[in-house]
Amino acid sequence: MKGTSKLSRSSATAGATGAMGALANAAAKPRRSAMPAKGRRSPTGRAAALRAASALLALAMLLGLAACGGGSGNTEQATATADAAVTTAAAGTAEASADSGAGAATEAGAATAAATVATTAAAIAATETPSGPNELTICLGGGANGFDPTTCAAADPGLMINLLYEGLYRYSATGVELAGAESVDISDDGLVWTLKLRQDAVWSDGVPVTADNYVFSVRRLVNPDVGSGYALAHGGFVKNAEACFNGDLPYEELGIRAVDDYTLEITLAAPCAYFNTLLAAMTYFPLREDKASLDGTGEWVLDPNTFVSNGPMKFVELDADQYLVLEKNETYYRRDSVNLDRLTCKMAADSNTRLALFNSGDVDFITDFPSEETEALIAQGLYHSAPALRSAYLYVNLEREPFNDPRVRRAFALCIDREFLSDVLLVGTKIPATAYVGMGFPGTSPDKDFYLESPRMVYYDPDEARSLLAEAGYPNGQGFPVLELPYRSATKDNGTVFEYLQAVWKDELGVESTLIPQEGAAVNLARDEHRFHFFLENWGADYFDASDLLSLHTTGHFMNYSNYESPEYNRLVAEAKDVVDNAERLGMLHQAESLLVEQDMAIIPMYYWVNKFVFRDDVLSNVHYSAEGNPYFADIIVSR
Amino acid sequence: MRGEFQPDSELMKEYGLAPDDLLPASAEDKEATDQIRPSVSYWQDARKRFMRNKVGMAMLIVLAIIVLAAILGPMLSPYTYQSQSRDVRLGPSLSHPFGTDRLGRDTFTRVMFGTRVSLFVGVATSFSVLIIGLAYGGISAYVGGWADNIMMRFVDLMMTIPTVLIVIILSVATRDIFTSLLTNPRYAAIASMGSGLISILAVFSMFNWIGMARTVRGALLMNRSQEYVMASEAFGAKAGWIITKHLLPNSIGIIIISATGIIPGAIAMESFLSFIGLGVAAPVPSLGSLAADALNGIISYPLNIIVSSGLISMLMLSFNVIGDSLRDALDPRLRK
Repeated sequence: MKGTSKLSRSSATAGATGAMGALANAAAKPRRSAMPAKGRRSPTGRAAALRAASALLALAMLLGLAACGGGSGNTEQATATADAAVTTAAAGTAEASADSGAGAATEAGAATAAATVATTAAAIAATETPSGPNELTICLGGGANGFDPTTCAAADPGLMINLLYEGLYRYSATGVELAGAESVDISDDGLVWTLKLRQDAVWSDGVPVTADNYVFSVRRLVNPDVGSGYALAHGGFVKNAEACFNGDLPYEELGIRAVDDYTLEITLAAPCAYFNTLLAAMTYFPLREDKASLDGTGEWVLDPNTFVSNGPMKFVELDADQYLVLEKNETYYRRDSVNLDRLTCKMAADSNTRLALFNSGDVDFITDFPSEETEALIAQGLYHSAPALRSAYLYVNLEREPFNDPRVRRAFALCIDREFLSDVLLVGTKIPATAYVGMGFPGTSPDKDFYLESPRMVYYDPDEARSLLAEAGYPNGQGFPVLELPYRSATKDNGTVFEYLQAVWKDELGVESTLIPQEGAAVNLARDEHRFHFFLENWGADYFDASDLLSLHTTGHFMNYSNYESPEYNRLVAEAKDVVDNAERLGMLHQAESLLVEQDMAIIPMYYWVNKFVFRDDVLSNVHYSAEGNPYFADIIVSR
Repeated sequence: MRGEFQPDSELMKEYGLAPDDLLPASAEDKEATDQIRPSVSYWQDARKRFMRNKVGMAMLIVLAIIVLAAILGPMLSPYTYQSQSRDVRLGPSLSHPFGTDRLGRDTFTRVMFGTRVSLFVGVATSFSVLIIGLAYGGISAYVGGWADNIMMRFVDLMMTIPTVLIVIILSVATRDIFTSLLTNPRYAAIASMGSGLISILAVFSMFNWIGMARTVRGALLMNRSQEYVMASEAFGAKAGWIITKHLLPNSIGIIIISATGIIPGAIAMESFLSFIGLGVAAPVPSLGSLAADALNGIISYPLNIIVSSGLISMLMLSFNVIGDSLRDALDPRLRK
């Protein structure tokens, strides 16, 4: 309510200023405004009449303002005065000329606005309720056409999907915890997961959430007609997923079945200790067979009237690419722990626009902003961040001549001062990398972190770098080819990173490079065709296990743009999949990471990602983040 | 000496003139006739007219200051446009008049170098367009006939191509070609200038000569049909003589005016391309890429966007105003 009052007050002031200007204007030229233009089609006459009308209007508005200062008792009076002004304005203009109909309409509109201002302000003055509904307004970048949990690959719609649905597990602050399932039973061979569903979970239309909903969702995931990019990346853990995807087996043969309404049995293709973290991903969220479409079209997620949700919020309103409204889902079984009553999400593709909306108070929370504003936002105490499970690293093109020598690759890696890059150049919005797998992945024992168990694999040592390059036959960079460095120009941080790399490699190693900033598709083409020496990429983990990141660089993987071919590495990553003992498995992954980075330097780790948020601590309280670095919007309490 | 001229006595008789009536003019007489109006050349006249235009002169001074700063600024500055330091995002100070940028580079040096790049693109484009346009329009006008017809239809065809679109496509396409050419270490010096700049120049020259060719052809045709050219031809003057001594000097005004008109257009186009990331290759700055960078911190560091976009505006304004007053000065017939 306070937001409305602020808005109306400011427009009332603007109205008054404008009206006073008009008043002064009319007073300065009394003769012209007094002259009636009897049906004459003269522009001066028309303007004069308009000016007279606006003078009257100004008076009415001033009266209206005076009225709302007086409190609720005067509301009717203020409205009446403004109404009179409307009549006068319309009459005055009509007299002037028939042509000025449009002008009269505008004036009348202004008068009505003035009346509304007066009424609203007065009403607010009368009803100052201490606690209204808990409403949060946020601003995200993406369009609103990706709320399908099976296919969604974008970060911003993903935040909304996590509010609308709830899976068997949910992300907690440190990992995952049971959500839609009450208990889980894993067979001794690690292959069969039997999950007991909670019986009080219902969809927003009152229909209970049953095991069939989960079965349908996973079958839909591996259906090639739906076209999910995660069909096999996520669905592939389930037995027979690949055969179903290829059409060799019917979906009934997929390793997921409903034993009864509230018992779900999932059979895996291979034992997987971290399958529970995958069950928290949105690809495994339940879906209603009578609602979800069986092809890639997103129509069913765009109509709030037919959309059903089983998460903390429900879908109320959508104006494509403008805004989206979610409200508290009263059928959610944990509704008492949901603090937020209403979430409005505005869409703005430009990050400067988002920050301007935040600064003007139109939105309370934004996720992305122009990177060079970070320092000011930190100083104002508005900047918040949470580590995300995302690593940024450089692919090294192993096919191009000098880079087939590991000493050359190492020389380039050792020149990079990652602390300076992350803390100073990127204003602390990234965490400097010491290895490839970043923080947040479970280690060999539950209290340990995979990252903290790894040794420091990359560091800053330009002297060693120079001697390595000289050893490889390029003292001071003599005879070294000019490097080709394509990067995505849309992300401003990329420019900073590459201009820094260009300078350090020139200064420390004497190697020249050409920067090729391009838009996304062109850069991806250069990457796919291996037209680069170094290529900056970042990968966010889909599940909480180091194997997610490490599997990217096995031979034949589509993300292996370095063209890294190490039989030993492939063997370690592949064999780790079948090892049931977690400590032994992670030990193999540690070995693989050391091979990839320390020994072969097939990729050069740069920094770990953080998710950035801007909000006021005195407005938003109870803001927590999940282990993957996203806020729990439903928990937030807004106080204005 | 006297007496070489012997007047016809019969004629004198016919007109009733005595021999004393026809005396050669004295030196004083000659001087008095000559000094009625001092001889003023075309260029002196033009300069006088130009200097009488106050707005034009003011803009010429503004432009002179910008050009001087762009030439001397990076030379006198202790920093280069690409020297990074650990002092990032500093505010304005004595050692950094406009502060430093996100990589610790001196913004003043970068802005001045960027102005130099923008000016270079403008002037170089204008120059290459002038040469292509002169050659094409000159040949078309002088040869005439079916050759003129074909050449002008080709120009019409070129005019139907949407320039902005083609410039964007070609600068992307040619940049790849230039980049792969320049990765050869032999051309490292040119490569450091940025393949973007070279492709921009090539593409601009490829598409801006059309208007120039038409202007040149029009001006030459107009003069070619004048009687003095016909007279010169009648006396047996060769084509080269007629072009260099008659046609070019009499069309130069119009040609200079259109050449000046190309500069602000090229500067605007280069700034636009650099702004959307298709122009000069980083770390080489241009006013457009500086403005694009400034957009990333417009609230915290407003000075950056004010300086870069202000300079673009001032350059465009001064070139346009100077072009206008040049037109008034060089071609008074075009006025009003």
